[in-house]
Amino acid sequence: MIIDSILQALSPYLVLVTLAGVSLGIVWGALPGLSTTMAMALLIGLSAGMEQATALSFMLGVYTGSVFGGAISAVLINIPGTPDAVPTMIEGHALAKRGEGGRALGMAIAASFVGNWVGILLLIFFIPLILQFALEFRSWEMFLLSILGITVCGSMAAGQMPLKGWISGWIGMLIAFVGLDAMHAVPRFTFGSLALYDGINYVAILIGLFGMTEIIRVLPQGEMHALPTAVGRIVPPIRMLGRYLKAAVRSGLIGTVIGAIPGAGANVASFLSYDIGRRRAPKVEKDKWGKGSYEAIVCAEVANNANIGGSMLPTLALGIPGNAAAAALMGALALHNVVVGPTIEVDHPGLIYFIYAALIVANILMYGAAFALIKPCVWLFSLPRGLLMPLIIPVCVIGAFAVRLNMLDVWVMFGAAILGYVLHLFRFPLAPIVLGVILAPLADENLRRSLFLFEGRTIGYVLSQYVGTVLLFVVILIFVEGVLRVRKRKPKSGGQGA
Amino acid sequence: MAEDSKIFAGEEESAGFAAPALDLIASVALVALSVWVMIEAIGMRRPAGLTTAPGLLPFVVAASLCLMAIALAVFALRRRRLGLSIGMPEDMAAVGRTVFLVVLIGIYIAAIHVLSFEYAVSLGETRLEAGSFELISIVFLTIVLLAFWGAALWQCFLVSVVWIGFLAAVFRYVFVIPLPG
Repeated sequence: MIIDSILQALSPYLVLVTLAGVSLGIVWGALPGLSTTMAMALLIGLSAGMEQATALSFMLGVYTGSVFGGAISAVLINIPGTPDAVPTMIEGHALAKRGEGGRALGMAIAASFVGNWVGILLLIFFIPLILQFALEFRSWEMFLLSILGITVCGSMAAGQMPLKGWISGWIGMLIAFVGLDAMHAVPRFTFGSLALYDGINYVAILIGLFGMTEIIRVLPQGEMHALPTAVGRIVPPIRMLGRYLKAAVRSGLIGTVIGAIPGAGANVASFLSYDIGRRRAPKVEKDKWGKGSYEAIVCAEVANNANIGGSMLPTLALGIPGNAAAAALMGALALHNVVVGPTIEVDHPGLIYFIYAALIVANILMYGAAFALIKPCVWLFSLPRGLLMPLIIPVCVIGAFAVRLNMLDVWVMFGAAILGYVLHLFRFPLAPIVLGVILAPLADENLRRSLFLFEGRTIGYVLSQYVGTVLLFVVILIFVEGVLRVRKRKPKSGGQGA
Repeated sequence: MAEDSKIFAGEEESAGFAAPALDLIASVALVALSVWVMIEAIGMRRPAGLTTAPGLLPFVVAASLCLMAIALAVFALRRRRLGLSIGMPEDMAAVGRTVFLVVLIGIYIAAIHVLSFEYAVSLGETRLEAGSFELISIVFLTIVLLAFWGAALWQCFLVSVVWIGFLAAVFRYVFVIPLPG
């Protein structure tokens, strides 16, 4: 089965599709204002018309390419294409100003390649273990796991103020309650509209929050004028990378672990790895930090790319998306009747191996395509934002419509975009909403099923479900940690603070 | 770190404390929303008792949301008393243009929803279709490009025609996905 999956992913057609996805991802990620999640969300609609294997290869290619793509604009125009490229921008642009832009980009490409490998290898190693464990989960554990996912995501998304992250997650849950309830088919919050009986499609929410909201937010702000720094010859400094092998392995581990935590994505991974790298670097290297350090680029780029493999862990094994981009991948899989989660191996034998193979192919292609696409990206940087962003609006409309061929979804997408914009103004994070929308049906059904099973039992019986009790304890711990985090912030008069 | 301003504060950089007034407005709206949801949830039918009631989780979620909204208000009031403030988000200055864009997108979607027609031309064995989506999208995109790109009308129109034509061809003929409208 493993060999079949690898051979399938290596078929010329799928290699071409992956290459197209990787190239699109690199260019998309390189363009400031266009995020990985936005790309993934918009492509769900397109993937509806593809075969399952084609859709997976294409989307994993886009995912892999766009995470790296952010580094190009970060180094060359001092604007991070994606938020996780900020550490690369600090170091890479300093190097570019010294005429070492090509070398910095070469290092970023090599580091991304290594990071992807670390993430994929850890994914392959850990998935069977998690799946074995997850198969033991029953209704009570699944309910708590869903709440845990939303809570952790809320906590990680708004680092300063976890309360806002949780509120976003809770709003997402409320949105998901619209429609007929799964147990008794009782209409909830449908206002008598038959169109709402089917519920709210989370793909439309995803496209609205991460596609249209970005356009509404960024387009009216006017142009960003940035002149690309000369690239020079792009050198893949393999020998130099060997010098930073220890930092690369450490960053890969950080990136994968962070990726596996719902809500904590490439941004947390690259910043954390960058910070830990600075603390652990030898004195000579530490002095270069912030002024153009290759080791810093390795730390950030390895971590944010290893994050891809990490984010696949909870997504595939538990059905809890590791981040919003993984949620989009889940949406694309759902369109092909693939429900990920603990029974994925039973329900869709061989799919996991295909995903491993597709990730490996995408990584290898990313290495080659990145070198080829840097110069075209420099040309794209000269295109005005006022030209590029409006072109995405019809794509958002088609993307939302294509999922269920339903205009209601287009309106939902538009509503989500306005909600996203308002929440952004009020400084609420958006990713927990998506997690709330995805996980609320799971939480709802499993809570009621478990309460039904627990009826007439003592509290001691409930607590004797050890996995559930541990999960319950972790949920409480996350709330307590979040409250303590806010309370620990020392208020400074006239500045920011709690 | 050389640039302290770039210190990371969470997965979503823009999320966090807002101006106390904004947090207060948000908390009032959230309390109102959660109270409404609680009332609706209580009023829902319970075909098989309380444990499997369809309104159970919505009620619990709304009640806890209400508590969180109150906590948000408490934090906001405390920060207001301490004289702490956060400037309004940068894009507040562009609010007029944002409203214009939102209204335009709303009209665009409404037009696609309401107007529905399709024409087909046969070229040999190939059947070429074009419908209300293409026409409305070209008009809409031309207006948005004129407003935000600022190029000449013919340039905006040309870009719109080429882009919408490309999108329609990809979705209609390559992926065989019907277009809205």
